[in-house]
Amino acid sequence: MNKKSLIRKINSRVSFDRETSTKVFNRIFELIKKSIVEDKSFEIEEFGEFNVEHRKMKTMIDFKVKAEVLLPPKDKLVFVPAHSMENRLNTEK
Amino acid sequence: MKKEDIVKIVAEEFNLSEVDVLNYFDDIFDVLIECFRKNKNVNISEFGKFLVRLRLNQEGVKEKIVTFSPVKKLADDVNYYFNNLSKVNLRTLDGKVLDDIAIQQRIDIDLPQDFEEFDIIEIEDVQDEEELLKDYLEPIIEIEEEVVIKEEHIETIKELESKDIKVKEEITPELEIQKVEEHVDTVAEVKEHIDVIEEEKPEEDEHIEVIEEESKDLNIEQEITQEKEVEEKSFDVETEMKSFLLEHISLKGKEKGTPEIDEYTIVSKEDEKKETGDVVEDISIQEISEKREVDSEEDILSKENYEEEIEEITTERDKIIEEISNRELELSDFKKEEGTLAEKEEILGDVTDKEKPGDEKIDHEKEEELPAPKELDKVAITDVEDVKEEIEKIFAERNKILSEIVELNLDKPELDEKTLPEEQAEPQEVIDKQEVSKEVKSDEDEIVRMIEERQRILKKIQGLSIGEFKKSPGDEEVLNEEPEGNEESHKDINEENISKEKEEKTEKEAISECDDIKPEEELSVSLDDFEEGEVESIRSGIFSSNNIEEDINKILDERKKIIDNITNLELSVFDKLMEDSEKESSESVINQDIENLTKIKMNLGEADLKSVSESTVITQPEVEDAIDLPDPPLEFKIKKDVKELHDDIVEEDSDKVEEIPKDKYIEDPKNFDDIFIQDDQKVYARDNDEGYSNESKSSLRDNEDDDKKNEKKEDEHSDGKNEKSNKKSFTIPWMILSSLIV
Repeated sequence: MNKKSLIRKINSRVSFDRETSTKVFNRIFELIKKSIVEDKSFEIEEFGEFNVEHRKMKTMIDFKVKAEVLLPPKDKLVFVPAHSMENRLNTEK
Repeated sequence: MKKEDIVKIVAEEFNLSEVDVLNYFDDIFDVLIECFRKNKNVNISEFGKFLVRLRLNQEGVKEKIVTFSPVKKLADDVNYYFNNLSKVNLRTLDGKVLDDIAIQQRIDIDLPQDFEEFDIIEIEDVQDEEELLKDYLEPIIEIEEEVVIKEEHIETIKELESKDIKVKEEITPELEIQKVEEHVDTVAEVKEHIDVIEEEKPEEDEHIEVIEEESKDLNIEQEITQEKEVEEKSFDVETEMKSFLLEHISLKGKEKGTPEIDEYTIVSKEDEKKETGDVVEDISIQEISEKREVDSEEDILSKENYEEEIEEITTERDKIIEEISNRELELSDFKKEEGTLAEKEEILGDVTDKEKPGDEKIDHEKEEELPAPKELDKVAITDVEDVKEEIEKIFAERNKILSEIVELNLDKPELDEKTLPEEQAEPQEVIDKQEVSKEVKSDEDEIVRMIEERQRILKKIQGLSIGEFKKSPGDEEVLNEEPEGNEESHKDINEENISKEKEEKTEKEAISECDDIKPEEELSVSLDDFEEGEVESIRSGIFSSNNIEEDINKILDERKKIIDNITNLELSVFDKLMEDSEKESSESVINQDIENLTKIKMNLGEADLKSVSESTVITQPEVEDAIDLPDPPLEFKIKKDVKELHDDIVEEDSDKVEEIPKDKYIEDPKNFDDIFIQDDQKVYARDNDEGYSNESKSSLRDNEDDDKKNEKKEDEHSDGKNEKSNKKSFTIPWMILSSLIV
């Protein structure tokens, strides 16, 4: 599913115009991104939580190069779904 | 930032109500969840992808899981601080180390490029140039402050160094004066310690006083020499260190109380103060500490020597006191013994008078000959040996005196028996058994003892016979026999041991005493009741109160054993009777079974039951006649059958069998078939296989199977010819009885 199809579905429920709905949609996700980058976490009730996790540097073997490689540290964005959503996915029909 | 903040911002930007925006926000994620439920992946541009995947749960059930992979831009934004980092090849799998690459890469990693950029970003965020200048100018100012602080620190250090020097000048003389005072205190304390030793010593022990005086002289000489050395020596650092180390000795004394200082010590203090101040100003603290370390070992050794000497003196003193106390105790014992003898016999008086001054002379001689305190151990050993020799001499003299007393007693036997108490007579016997036993006097003493023992025994036996053994009359007889024999045993002893001349006197005395003591006439018994072993034991003097108690215990044990044997016999007899009764009961059971059968017969009818009884009774002789096998198996079978019948009857209530309704049987049956016909509802004749119900057929088959099994068992014991007769004889009553039981 794309963004357009998503916005269509949402427009069926809401009385906004398509333009306004797209603008609102884009703006909401921009703000979510900003909060993730700044606060390194953003929680949406009954959906899930976006967290930034730090991974330490570690050594790995790269078989393409046939050498032991040291991976640098990095911050990774992780989505942790809510239990309510998991239940809805697995129980409701 | 939270959901509410986002809603407010969006509502303000687009002039929308917050409720609409909030509903829109909720609808977005509801639609996403619906898509996930439909296993549809959702791709939101410029944000990321939501992927739905199936995964096995812990229980083995598939579950839907949503994962999120952000867009690269978002991931880079999140991983902004580590974006420039890349992989580093440390080493190949062959083992070659790629040091050059690794070092270069590590250097790149270590370089704070990211942080420089971070600073630049902060600068970009700052709009005013003044703020930037402030940021760059502040560290310069800080450096200036640090420089100032350093300068101040240097100044303070200089001041402190100058102050330290002053402090050294101010403090060191005081400390050293204290040290000197403590040293003087130690000298005074040593004197006090000596005084304490003088006070503790007992006045009576002159020997100890001499030793302590010598020890004092030694200690005082050493102390005086030390004090002279202190005076003579200029108060260098070494002497000060010694005095400082001597403080440890004086710690105990200080805790108790400050000692008094003599004029000599006060003068020395004043001199020391003057001298030490000049000396210590020249010497630095480091030099003092070095010298302390060097001289500490020597001073410790000197202190330890003082302490060890004092300890040795105290230990020696304690040993000497113990030896003297032991000597005094021994002498006091001898004096008491000798004094008691001297009071009664004047002969001994001279001997004891000679011994007492002799001991004192020995003590004086020893005190004069006592060597230096270091040789006290040898002296103590020699003293002990001398004491032993004296004791041996005293014993020898004592034995001589006792022998003389015995001789005197022989001359005057009547007086000796009355005058000498029993307490004195007993130790005489203990010491001079061999010598005195040859004489006649010993016989008399033995007779007296035997009489006393006899009296005690009689009293004990009387008490026992009255108190404990009244319950068992058989034991009273046994116990009463023993004391009766004692009298005669004493008589035998008197006859054998005592000489003929003195037999009459002793017998008369013994008889007179025995007559006075005899409480009852029952105690007189003849010699025939007395065993030879017991007589011999009495002769040898073993027959004492302890032996009587042992004999009584033995008798009690025998009594218990007899009772146990009786109980065992009773039990065995009871078991035999029970076995006989069981046999009889088994026979009685058979008879009862027969009687029950007769009752059943009476119910069935006399005429036909006679034949039944005949069949049961007649079968045995037929088998006996026909078969050569022995009887027991057949009898056993009959009994077994009868017992089984009996048990079945008992289980199913004999009343039911007796109270069979009249409809179930015929009063005058002519044939067995009539009975079977009457009871054909449940019991049937073998010939009639028709009209069986399913249940009855199954029951009959079971019965038939049981019968077949019984027949097989019987066939094993019987021959083929007699099978038919036996079958008939056993089957008919079985059927009848089974029908009746049902």
